[in-house]
Amino acid sequence: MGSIEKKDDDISIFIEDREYIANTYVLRCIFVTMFIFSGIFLLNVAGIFVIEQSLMRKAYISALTIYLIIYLTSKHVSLSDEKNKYFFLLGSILINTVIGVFVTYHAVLLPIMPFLYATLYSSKKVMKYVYMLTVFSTVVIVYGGFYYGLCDANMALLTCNNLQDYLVDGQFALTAVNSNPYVTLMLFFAMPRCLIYIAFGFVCNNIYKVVCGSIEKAKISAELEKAKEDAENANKAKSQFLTRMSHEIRTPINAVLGMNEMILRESMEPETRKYAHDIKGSAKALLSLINEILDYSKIESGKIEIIPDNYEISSMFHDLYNMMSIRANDKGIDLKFDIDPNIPCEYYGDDIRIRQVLVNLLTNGLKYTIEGTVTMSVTGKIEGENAILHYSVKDTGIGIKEEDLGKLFVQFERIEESRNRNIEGTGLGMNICAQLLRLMGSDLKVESEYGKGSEFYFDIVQKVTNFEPLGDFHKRIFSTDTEYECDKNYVAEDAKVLVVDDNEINRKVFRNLLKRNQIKVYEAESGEECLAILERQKFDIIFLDYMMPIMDGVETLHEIKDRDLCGDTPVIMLTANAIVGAREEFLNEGFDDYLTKPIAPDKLDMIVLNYLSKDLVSEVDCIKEEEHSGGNQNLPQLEEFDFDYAMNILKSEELILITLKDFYTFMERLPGKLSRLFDAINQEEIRALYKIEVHALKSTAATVGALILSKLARMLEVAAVENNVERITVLHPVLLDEIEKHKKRIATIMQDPEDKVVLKNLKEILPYLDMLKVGIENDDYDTADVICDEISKYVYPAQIQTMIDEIASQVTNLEACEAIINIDKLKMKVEG
Amino acid sequence: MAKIFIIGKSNVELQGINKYLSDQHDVQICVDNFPLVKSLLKIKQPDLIIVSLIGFDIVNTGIFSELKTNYSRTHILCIGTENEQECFNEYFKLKNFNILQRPVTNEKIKEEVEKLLDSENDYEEKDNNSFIETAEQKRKNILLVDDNATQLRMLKAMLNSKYDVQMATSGLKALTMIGKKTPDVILLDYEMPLCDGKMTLEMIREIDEAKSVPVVFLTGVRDKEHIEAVLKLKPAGYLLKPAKTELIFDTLEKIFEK
Repeated sequence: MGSIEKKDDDISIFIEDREYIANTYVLRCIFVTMFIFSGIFLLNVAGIFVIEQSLMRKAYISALTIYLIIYLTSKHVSLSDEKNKYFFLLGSILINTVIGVFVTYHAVLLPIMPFLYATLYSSKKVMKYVYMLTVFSTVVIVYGGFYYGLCDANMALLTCNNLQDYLVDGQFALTAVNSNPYVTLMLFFAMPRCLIYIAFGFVCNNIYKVVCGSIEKAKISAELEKAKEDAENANKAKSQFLTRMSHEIRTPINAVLGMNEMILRESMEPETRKYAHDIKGSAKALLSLINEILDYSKIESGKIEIIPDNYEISSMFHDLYNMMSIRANDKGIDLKFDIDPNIPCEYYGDDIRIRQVLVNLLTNGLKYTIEGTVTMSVTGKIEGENAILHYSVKDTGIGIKEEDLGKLFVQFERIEESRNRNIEGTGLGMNICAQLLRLMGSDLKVESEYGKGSEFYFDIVQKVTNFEPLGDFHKRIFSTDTEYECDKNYVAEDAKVLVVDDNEINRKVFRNLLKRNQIKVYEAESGEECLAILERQKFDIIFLDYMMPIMDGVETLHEIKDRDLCGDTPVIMLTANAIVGAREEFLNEGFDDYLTKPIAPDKLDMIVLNYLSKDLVSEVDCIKEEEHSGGNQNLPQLEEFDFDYAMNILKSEELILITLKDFYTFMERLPGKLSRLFDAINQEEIRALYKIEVHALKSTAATVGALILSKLARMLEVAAVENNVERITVLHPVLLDEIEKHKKRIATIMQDPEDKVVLKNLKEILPYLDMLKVGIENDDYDTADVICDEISKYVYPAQIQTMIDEIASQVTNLEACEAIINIDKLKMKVEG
Repeated sequence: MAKIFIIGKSNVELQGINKYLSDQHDVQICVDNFPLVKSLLKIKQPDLIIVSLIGFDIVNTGIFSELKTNYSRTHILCIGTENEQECFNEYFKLKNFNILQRPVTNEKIKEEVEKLLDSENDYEEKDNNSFIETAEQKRKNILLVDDNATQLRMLKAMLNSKYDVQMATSGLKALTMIGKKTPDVILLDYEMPLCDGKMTLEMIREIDEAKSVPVVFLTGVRDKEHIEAVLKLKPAGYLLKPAKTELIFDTLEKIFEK
């Protein structure tokens, strides 16, 4: 029969996970009927029931015929599913009717078959038809039987007293009730039967309903299960995504802020510093935007927790004021803090979240106010051990229309989008505020008059830990304002810390942050490297990054503890995952403390000062971040080069840069030269030559401000003069190392070559080479340099390029003979 | 001995002209690359410019434009066929442009060159002001002698704006260069391999033309005996390495005032 598509209307049964769509089994049901029928026949044969054999035969044959007709028809005529159903139903009723006619006194049961069929396979619509057809069929059976003189015992009993009398000349004699036999038949046979059948039909219907219902239920519960699973998976994916994003996004921001911090600390050029300040502002804005989004996602996935802790309310107000006053000043808006001096000063609650809400409200106030005032007022009422604080942020801004008030807290909705389009924001802030306050048992309320201003307020219950009244807040703000500028700085030259992070930039940022404190920072790229280093050295503090491939922070820590590599050295964790409540988790793992990335310099200082032993730290007055007038503005800051010294000699920045580049070229050949001499250093004449080389290096290095290099060169010169081969042997590799370092340093400021043109025909270079050769031969380096520059403007195939670079280098180094030899070689090569 | 600058594509004819003129004059050949021509002309400041038009096309008007703008006082000799000259006819109308039509022999070219050079002198004398200016502005020629190329480059960079600077990497090289052209002052490094400052100075003093040239020593060694040894040679001055720019300039100026 093939597979039939299940329609919505269809009934199906689940038997052990397999769905059986009932209509495909109709013919089988009909077969079952036949089977039952055959059973009756066999019983008849066995002599149990008495049905006349000829009747039996007739019934059987006609039923079979109809069955075959139906079967063959279904095979050869393709009907639509719907029509198919009706066809089979009709067929089954037909068979039953026919059988019923011949086997009347067993026909009571037969008409109920269609109901069963309908229940099993067909749709609710069909049931209606089954009722009608069964009634019709019953009537046909009853009257048909009577007509053909075939009857059943029941009929006979109703009509006569004596069973033997039921056939009078082969005819029925129905006189008892009514003279009209058909009426009697209807009243006493057809109708009761119909009623029975209909009743049975209803029962079937209900069975069907029950069956259907339970099948439906099974379907629904299966769907629910699946939906639940999907939701859980989605949630898990979301949390994982959150965590990863948190890390992924913060890492580059960490680099940006960290590097920017370095620019602010090291650059003395006013324009650059201005740009850096702008970068800082923007990066911080970016960070806060991302935090907003991440917070929102965390609230959504239920990850935000309210973590109470002791806090001083005055410091919260202080920070808020500082944060907002700059912005308010920029916009020319008056910022007022109206704080009740009688409220207690210390509480136990989640001040971070309250702060977040207030920052949001104040920022919004400032954002949506063009002129006037933004006032934050705080009052409180003490109740037992708690205080009910009433916070209100009022502004004289553009206000909110009444119909828009509902939209206020809906996520991503921004009111009056068209008007407020150029005000930044994700539209999440209010929603987050409202949810946070709800988590803290509070509720954010708003009152507003369009065009006049708005007020946002909420009441929050906080447990009081210090009932002492706050006092006058304003006095406290202004007094600390002036002190704020100059911090005391600290220096810890002998302190050694180890930072472990797989990201090079992160390590660089870290190192830079501690540069001004002169702390020696050692680096490790992985947990393994960290362990290897710790085997050999001890540190004062160890900083471990949390997320590292292969062996993460926690694993590394455990290894360190297991192998007892750090003793009681404090281990601080660096993490980009700013999930609140992580502190306890980290402490449980064995860390002494943690820092979130991007690393805030002041927090880092706090931790360092906290965990370094006091005898390593000494205080110094901070260097004010003044504008440095003049100074080396165009010169790059190179670590090994003291350009002030060079300035003293060369007096011109341009000159320094030119000399630096020549110095670089000089440095390219020198290590080779020195090493060749070093190989034969035992010979006196060679030592003399070596001495000359380092002597030259000494002054040249000094000229460009490479003082360390100059010093080393001097030491080697002295050693050469004193014929101290041992000393030379020791210092030579050190010198080579330093030369390498300096080269690399200069290389960082060498400009990238501009887009060069490819020379169409290599032979075009020949006249230049001739000119160059002539120039060199005449010691005319002005000409030679110009030609060299011209030649260098083109791009050449690799081998040629190498040769040209070498020639250019030789020209710079005034190595006339070598240059000429190479020019001739190149000419031969090009001429082919 | 005049300075002649020949611009043209590198070919047999050009080489021919070069050879013909170079025993009498200081000849510089330059390919027809505009930036190169521009830079080299500036450096050389020739007395006469020859342009060989073989292979020239409209692209080369840049060079002509440069010649028109900046070298209107210099005689320019253009050699080429009638066809080749066509593109640049407008330039040939200028005073200082002279034409020779190919085919032409090298002798003829030389003749023309000598003629122009002679008239060159008249040309300059006519303009009295410029003559005086150029005399006053004539730059001093300094010879630097040091075995260290970086040092030489650095000093040259320092002094190039005010003086013409030549570089020699050894005493022997210095002598060769003095032979070609006598400098106005020599800056001599004391510590050099093979032929050190002392020896070089002695050799210089033996050359007649160079005897009276003031020599300034540059030394990196600071101890007393060493410096006394240096001073014994009676240099015009001495400087300690690394030498400050101002100091170098001061020293030089003092020397030139004398």
